[in-house]
Amino acid sequence: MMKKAIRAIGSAWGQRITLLVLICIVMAIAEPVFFKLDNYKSILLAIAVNGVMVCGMLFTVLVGGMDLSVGAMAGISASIAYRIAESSGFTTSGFLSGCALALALCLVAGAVSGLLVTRFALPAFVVTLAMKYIVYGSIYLVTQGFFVLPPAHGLSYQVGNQIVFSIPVGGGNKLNIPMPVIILIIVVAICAFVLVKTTYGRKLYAIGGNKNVANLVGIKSNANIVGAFMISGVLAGIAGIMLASMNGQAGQTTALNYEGNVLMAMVVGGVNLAGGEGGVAGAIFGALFVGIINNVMVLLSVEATIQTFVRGIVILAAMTLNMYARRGSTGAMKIKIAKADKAA
Amino acid sequence: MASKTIRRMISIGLLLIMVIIFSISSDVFLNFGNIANLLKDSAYLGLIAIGMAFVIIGGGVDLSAGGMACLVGILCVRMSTMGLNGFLIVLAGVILGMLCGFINALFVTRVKLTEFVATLALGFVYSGLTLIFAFRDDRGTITSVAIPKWSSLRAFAGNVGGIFYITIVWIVVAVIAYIVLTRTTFGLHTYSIGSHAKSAQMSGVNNDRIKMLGYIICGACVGLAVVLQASLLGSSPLNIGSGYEFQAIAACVVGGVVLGGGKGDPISALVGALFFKTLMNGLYKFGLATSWEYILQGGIIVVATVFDAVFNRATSKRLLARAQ
Amino acid sequence: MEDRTDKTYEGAGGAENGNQNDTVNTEANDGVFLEAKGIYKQFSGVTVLEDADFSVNCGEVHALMGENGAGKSTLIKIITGVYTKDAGELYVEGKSVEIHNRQDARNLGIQVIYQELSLIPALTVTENIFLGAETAKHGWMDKKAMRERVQSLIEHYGFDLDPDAVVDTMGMAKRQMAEILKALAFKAKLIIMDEPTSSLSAAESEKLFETIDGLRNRGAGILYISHRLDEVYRLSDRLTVMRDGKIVGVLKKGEIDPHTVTTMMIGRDVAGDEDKGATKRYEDHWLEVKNLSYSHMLKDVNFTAYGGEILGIGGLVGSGRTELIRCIYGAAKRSGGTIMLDGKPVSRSIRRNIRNGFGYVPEDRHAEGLVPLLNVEKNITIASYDKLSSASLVNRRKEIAWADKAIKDYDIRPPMRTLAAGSLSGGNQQKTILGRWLSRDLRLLLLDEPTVGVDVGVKMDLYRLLREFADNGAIVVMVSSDLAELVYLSDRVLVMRDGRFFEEFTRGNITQESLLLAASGVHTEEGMSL
Repeated sequence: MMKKAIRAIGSAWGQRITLLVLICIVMAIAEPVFFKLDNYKSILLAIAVNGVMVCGMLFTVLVGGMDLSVGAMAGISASIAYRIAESSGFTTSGFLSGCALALALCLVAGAVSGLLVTRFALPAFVVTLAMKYIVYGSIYLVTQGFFVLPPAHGLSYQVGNQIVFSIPVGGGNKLNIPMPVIILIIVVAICAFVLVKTTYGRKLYAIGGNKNVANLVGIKSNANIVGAFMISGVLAGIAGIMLASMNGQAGQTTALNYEGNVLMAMVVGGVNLAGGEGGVAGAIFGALFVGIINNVMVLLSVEATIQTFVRGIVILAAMTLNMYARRGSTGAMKIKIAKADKAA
Repeated sequence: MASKTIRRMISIGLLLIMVIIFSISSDVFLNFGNIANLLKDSAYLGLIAIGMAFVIIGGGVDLSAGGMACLVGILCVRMSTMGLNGFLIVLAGVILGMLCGFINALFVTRVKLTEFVATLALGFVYSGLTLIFAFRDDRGTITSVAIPKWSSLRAFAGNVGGIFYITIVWIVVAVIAYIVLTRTTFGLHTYSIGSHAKSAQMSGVNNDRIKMLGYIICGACVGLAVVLQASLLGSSPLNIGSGYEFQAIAACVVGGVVLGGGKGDPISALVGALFFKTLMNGLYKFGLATSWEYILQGGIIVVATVFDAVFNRATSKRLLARAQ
Repeated sequence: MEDRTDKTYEGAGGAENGNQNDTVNTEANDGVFLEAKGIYKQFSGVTVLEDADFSVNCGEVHALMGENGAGKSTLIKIITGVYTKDAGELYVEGKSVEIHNRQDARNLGIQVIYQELSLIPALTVTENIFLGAETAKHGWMDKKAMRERVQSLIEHYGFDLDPDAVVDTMGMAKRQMAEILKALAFKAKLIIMDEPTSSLSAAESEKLFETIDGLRNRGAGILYISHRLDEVYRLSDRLTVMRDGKIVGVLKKGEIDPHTVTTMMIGRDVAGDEDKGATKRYEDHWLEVKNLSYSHMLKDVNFTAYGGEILGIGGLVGSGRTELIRCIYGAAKRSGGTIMLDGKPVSRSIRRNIRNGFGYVPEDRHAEGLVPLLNVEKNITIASYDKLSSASLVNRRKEIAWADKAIKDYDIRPPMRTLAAGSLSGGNQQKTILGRWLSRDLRLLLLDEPTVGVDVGVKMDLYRLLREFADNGAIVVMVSSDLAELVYLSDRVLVMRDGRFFEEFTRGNITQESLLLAASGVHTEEGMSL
């Protein structure tokens, strides 16, 4: 019994959950505010934005790539959507068409990254880092360096009496669940569905695991990789609009450098940065973990900017742990096979 | 003609064409003050790019260079307020940079993490540390503190006949780096691990040690660069190094240091940095918005890496055809 | 910093002293350089080398032949210090020696030139030769001295090389020369070459042979491992044949002839294939290849294979076998010719071919066959999503049933669907890949070296599976270097040579000996010239 418990804690998920519980216990003692309902809401809202981006980048990481442009993509998407909404006088149709255009642009930018990565065999991190700068620079062109500020009453768009897109924290729907959280749940559900249930998901894992094999069993690896980058772009775009709605403004600092948080969620969630390993559950757990850590730092009044330091340390620690866990699991697997062989 | 020479001529040629265009179209571009300033701006980036070149030629990449510069910069200003001698501070900056490089190398060679993720994460760590060491007022808000007027560190901001010290240091370091890479066993080994790590190991090259030295040299260059830049600016703004890892990579790639390793040299990095800053300088004179700076940085990297991919593919095809 | 002048190399001084202390001791021209007595080696209870007596003289080219698994590479690895012997004695120049690692071997003057060359593409010939042992003082290289030394070596051996040429601008033959020069610079007295011509053209090979002749005349010993009989006749002074971990015999120059050698390699006791009973041929199901060409690797290849038949493709590595089946499958884009299945043209797209019932088991399991991180189930179903999904949605129940059935049918062990495929044994990995294809309704299965690295028990399982599969009416085309396998399994064997079919053997006439002869370009009475 005891052994079983220890083994459960020792497993990858056991470690993650144990860590989370430990943080909660420490926080309970250090800062009781942590357990206030409002605090949960702010954690959830932060996770909502991050989680959507994480889901997107997950696709590129699974095929053995990486998308460091997600932060910038979110920024430009928010800026375009709000710029167009502003020019139309913040009407619902103006906002929605702005969103559509913004997401279309993110789709194209993702496709460009994907094509550069596949067509010229360039390292994904270089291409997407370059894309980050191109997109980031373009935000200035869209906003002329100013923030797009919605009118004072906030950005609640109504069709009839139904609120389509509600921005203020706390939401406006009957269940009182903030809209961004609902979006997150939908995105997570769709991504998990795509990765687990569809052939496209299966193909992504195969490509990330061994591209040669994928090609030889008739999978169009390059096309699928480009698809993954497009998904990443669109989801980053959605996250950007969500964030801007929550902040009530869009501009060049919207989601700036968020890719660090996303990357952190990825490694904490046990996603193999070399590709072919990991899932939505792990990635979202990672986002949750990052959200809580960031929240804890805010509560303990750790300066926002020093948080980068913690972020770096967490990434390094998680990667190092993943590394050793992977080595360990290969060993465990061998023992398992040897046992099975003996039994046979 | 060797493909190496062709590549070098392309980057120098582009630089010259750009200089000619800017000189013709702008009255203010080709005057001594502007050129001296341009060379001063290029020097800071150029020094970091030279360090970066060592890592890239060895088959790696150092995304922590920017954060490292911020950290070393603030520490050096702190030392100057404590009244340390300017020379000692420069030396300390170089050593601090080397220390950071050593930490990078530990994660890359010992823990064996993917290089770009490990250095990216360490970059976060360094920028975070920068804030911990930053100056604060009584209420704990970060304030900017200048290098004291009396500090001998300020002497490094001087110039000889209009040419700034940092420019001279940059050229000297580039020449030394070139000699080190082409004349020493360490240089040869750096090219060999970048070109074909496994064969290098088989020939008795200590890959990990060479890689480690590469990161340490990169750290030293970054440290030197930022101390001199801080002395020029009279302080070390918190964002003194922000984005410079990316600009340095761009400079290397433009000059012909191929990502992936084995190709290029510090002179490529020097030409690349000059190219990069000249472009920015010239466009600034044209009155282009700062936003274009970012777009160009990204665009240049994309164009240069794609160009090298195509260029190398074409060269190897040509050589293969000739060999048969 | 890295002062290594005192190691293996002569320093700058060596170059100034001229050529007399270059590498080979010309006085001991006829002496025995290396002698091995009673070498014995076993791996986990399996004897791979038994009682091996073997010697190489100075100034001779000594060829070593034997089928795959005969023990050649084990012997070489013991001589070069990669493995340590379990019993026996090694003598170099009459003195008993122990070789524990590569450096020991180097210090004794033994150098190996591997198939995949160890040169660094971005460096020059000189830099490559001195890499890891530079002429240097405190880390500063003496480039002039190194260059002069290489120049003097080049002149001494009459090589056609430029010391300043960058390796990736050189052809394969020159790279090989540079590699040999590197060995010589290490004062090699015995140079071991492992299939050196496998990536060379005919003209390049001839250049290499001239180089080898030159080396022999200067007193170097050369141990030449090759599967190509013609090269061995052309070059060797003596020939040692190995079989099943034992030395079968040593032939002198005059005694070497194709028939003797092949008989020795295969063993006298193995006759042709005993008639396993005629297999049924399904004439209504056929693959027809017409005038197929691919770059310079395949020239005008024609053949027809029928359902129910296992068609073996023999020939040496580099003869175009692999390219042939990759062209049929669509993994290589053919430059000319037509391929038809049942009279209908075969697509160039792998995707469409798979849908038409093609399957391909590649040669390199790790690089192209398996996704090691994915589990056995996913590795099996990876090629069958067309059957396991509708509207892009995977039917999980069907998928599990599919994988379980394959695991049971093809006896993959341990029978665990969720195990990472990379952790299986080689044989079970191969079964997994085979299961991936056989579980589909295949019409044509293309195999490349299907049993490399597979232990004997699993090998027989695989043979049985393939036979059953063919008997059910499918076409099987199998490339193999394993002669026994070709003889045992094939209904017909086509032997390739230089991108063309050289001879055809039909059931009853297939012998290992004739296959080997045909692969080396000797026509036999059993075969039919093409």
